[in-house]
Amino acid sequence: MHRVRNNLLALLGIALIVAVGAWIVFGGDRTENILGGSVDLRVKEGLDLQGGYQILLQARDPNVTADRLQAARQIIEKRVNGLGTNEPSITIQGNNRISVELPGVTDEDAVKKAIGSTGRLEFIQVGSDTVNVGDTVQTTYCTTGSLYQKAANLCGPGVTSSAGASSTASATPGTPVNEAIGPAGTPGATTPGATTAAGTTPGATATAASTTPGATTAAGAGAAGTPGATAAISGTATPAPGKLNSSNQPFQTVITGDQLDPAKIDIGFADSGAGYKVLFGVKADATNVFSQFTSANLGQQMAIVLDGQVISNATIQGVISNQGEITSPNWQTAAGKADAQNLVLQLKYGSLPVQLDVQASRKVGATLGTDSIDRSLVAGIVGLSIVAAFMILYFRLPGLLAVFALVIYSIINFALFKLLGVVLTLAGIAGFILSIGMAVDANVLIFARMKEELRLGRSIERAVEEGFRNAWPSIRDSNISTLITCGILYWFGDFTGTSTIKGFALTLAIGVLCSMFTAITVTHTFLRLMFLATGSQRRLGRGGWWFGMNRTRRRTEEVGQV
Amino acid sequence: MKQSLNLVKHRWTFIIISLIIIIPGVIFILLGGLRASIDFTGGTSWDIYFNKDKVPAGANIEKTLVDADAAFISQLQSKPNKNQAEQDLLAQRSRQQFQAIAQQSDNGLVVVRTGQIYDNTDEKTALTNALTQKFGASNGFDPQKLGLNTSGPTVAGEVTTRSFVAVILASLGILAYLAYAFRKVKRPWRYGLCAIFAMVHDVLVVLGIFAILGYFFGVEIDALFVTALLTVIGFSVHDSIVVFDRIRENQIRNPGEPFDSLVNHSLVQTLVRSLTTSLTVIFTLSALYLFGGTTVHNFVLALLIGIISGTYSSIFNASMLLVIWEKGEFGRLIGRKNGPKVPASRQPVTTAR
Repeated sequence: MHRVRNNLLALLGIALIVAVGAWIVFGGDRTENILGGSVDLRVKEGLDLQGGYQILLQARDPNVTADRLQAARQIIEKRVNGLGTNEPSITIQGNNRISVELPGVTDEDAVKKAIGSTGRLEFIQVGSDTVNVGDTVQTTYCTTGSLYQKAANLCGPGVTSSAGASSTASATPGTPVNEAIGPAGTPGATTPGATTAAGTTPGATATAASTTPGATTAAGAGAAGTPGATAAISGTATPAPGKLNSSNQPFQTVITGDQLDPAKIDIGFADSGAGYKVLFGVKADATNVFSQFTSANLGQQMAIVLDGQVISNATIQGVISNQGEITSPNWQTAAGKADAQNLVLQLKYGSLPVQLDVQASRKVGATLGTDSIDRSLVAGIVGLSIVAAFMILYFRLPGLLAVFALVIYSIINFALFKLLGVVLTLAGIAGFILSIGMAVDANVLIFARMKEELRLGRSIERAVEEGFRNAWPSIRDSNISTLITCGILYWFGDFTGTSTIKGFALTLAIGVLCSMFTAITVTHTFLRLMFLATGSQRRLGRGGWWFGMNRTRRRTEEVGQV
Repeated sequence: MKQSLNLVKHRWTFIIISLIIIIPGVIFILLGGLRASIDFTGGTSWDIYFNKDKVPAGANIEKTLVDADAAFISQLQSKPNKNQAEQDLLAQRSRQQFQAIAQQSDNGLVVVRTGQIYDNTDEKTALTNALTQKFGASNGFDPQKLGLNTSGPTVAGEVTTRSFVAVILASLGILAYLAYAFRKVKRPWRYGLCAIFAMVHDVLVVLGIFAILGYFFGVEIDALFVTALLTVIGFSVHDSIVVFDRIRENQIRNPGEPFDSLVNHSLVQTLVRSLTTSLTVIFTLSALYLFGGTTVHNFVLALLIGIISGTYSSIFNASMLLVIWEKGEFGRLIGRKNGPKVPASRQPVTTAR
């Protein structure tokens, strides 16, 4: 009875897993809250299933640092989010490539804009106006230039003023102004206002402008400044039509990222209290302009704009010539550190944009995708039905059990796809269908062994156990060899920059692992229970038919046994 | 009692059958039948869909694209302030002429291979417009359905190298695992090498058939083809392992049995399983080939061929080679120029209990 109980428990466990799996698979596309965490249960369709773009970019500079590449990635991600794609995937590949996958995107020009240009970073004069982080603003850069470089047509004549990719982002509500900007302090220097600290209590700062709670500044000037690098115009992105200032004019651009010294942009600890600040350096040839501007606008607002979108807005706390810092009450917690680091990345990138060249691209028509899904579905159903019919006709009772196991296998497999966020591609579906073969194989191996044991006249129970024991090494070894290939395929696919091959490797690997699980647990439990019910100590009498044994064939096959 | 199937006896026959299949393929590989796709050579591949019954002639499509590109280039040359991509494009076109090769597929699909289309220029738009103008109303060309696949020379070169590395890595990894899994058997490396040999057999069969298809029908091999090849490698070894596993087991059970009869036993015992498994995979893949998406057609075909070949090679080659090796017949083959005298095992290989 012990055995019966154990097996019933196993059956209960299987039922539970299947129930959870079915709930995941058949509950539709959704996001669920499980154990406090939000789990995305949507089917992620790859490019070839829903159409879209895939682009592999490579930095022109072969020595590009991981930092800058990361910044470029973030900027592309930001722009791409406005394109209306549901599952953008922008990943860094190797040490100088970025792979961009935009399923569902069909607007080619928007894609070109989003990835075809480097970002332009501007420091703009806000004065007493209000802009919020996330706002899209118009600046003078493309019309009359910056305070540093007063010239027309800096954006180039070829650039049209059509809406940029970032235009849609303006809808996001901005966070209130809460940053402060001022000259950087040399460590240890006592500075006016430094004692007021990076506001443990908002609003407590004496010297800070009223709009910035808890802002602090430090004086003291660093002497350094790099010799003027040439201020090449890197930006080809056009600012979207956006906010104007209170006099209905574009905001005045003070300097652009080109005038920042990329080597001096860093995150630092706030001078007092917990928290972080962002340090930046201004190149020597722009220090005059910047110090004049900051001294004339003390207490006023200045914003940092990337691609026309405000990424930081601060009150000017002191005169900055070559080194400045930005503090914020939001950056006092460890969680705020990420925001500060993000700003550092954006400043660094803005000061030295990464030139990216398209290495490979792929565009899949949208209507094609739905067609592919339907076709794959039909193929999957037909394939599975044939296999099911074959298994039942050939192996009879165990075959029927195997088909049950196969259905369970499919449910668990798809649940895993959803849970792990596997991107389904046509090749991925092929991988899944192939793995069905693997799942069947494990069962076939077990049944074949079982049959042999039955022929040797063993009791049914013993035959089941021996069958499993004998088949296991084959199942294990052959599946491991497939997993080895999957690993290599994943590596190969990672390099080619397409999700297709990776998807195939992943679905095949998940399928193989899953098939081992179902073969060992599900089929095994089913068989045990079946035979416990009929009496496990029985030997096979005339019941051979149920096991696919044919009396006439049996004799010839038996000869093979030793 | 009836004597059971003696497969081992015919080992040389099976190997000769393999050679008959492989040799023509190898000839076509040598003739340059394998057509590398843009994944390996660089360039652009266009998936152009027309109305199924109104597919225009390939030459017509080719001419439309070539003319449109020439017009676009001459227009670009006079454009002031060219961006980097535009400059790159002009440089490339002056080095190499823009060519287009159209290839009819099914369901109204025509795949056209052209020189690399440069992103960040208006080249693609210009060419698409030309296609719409010419084939839009009359042939049902829909720019929305257009699929475009571009691969630059750098990536293409690296994909090629990686393909070779991947195949070699997979072989070595499997060889090492086999040697480990069979470490308790006499001469474990032999099993690994025989499995690898069967694997090479399958790779050659798939490559050969695709060389023939490429030679006559212009079928190309791409990165997905390499994926199929790697999968076939995994499957082929998968099959060989099941047979070897039986040999390993039977060797322990019946230590005194002659090797060829041992192998024959193991083969007969696993025959049903090998065929059943392969059949299920062949069923599902055939369904995918017949009903699945057009874009994975060749991928599925490569898998199908490889898996059929894998089943054959694991039964009829890998194990046969073990016997041939064990009996030292390789040496005799080389030593005596007049071919092998196949020493058929005279005693009944298997006897009933």
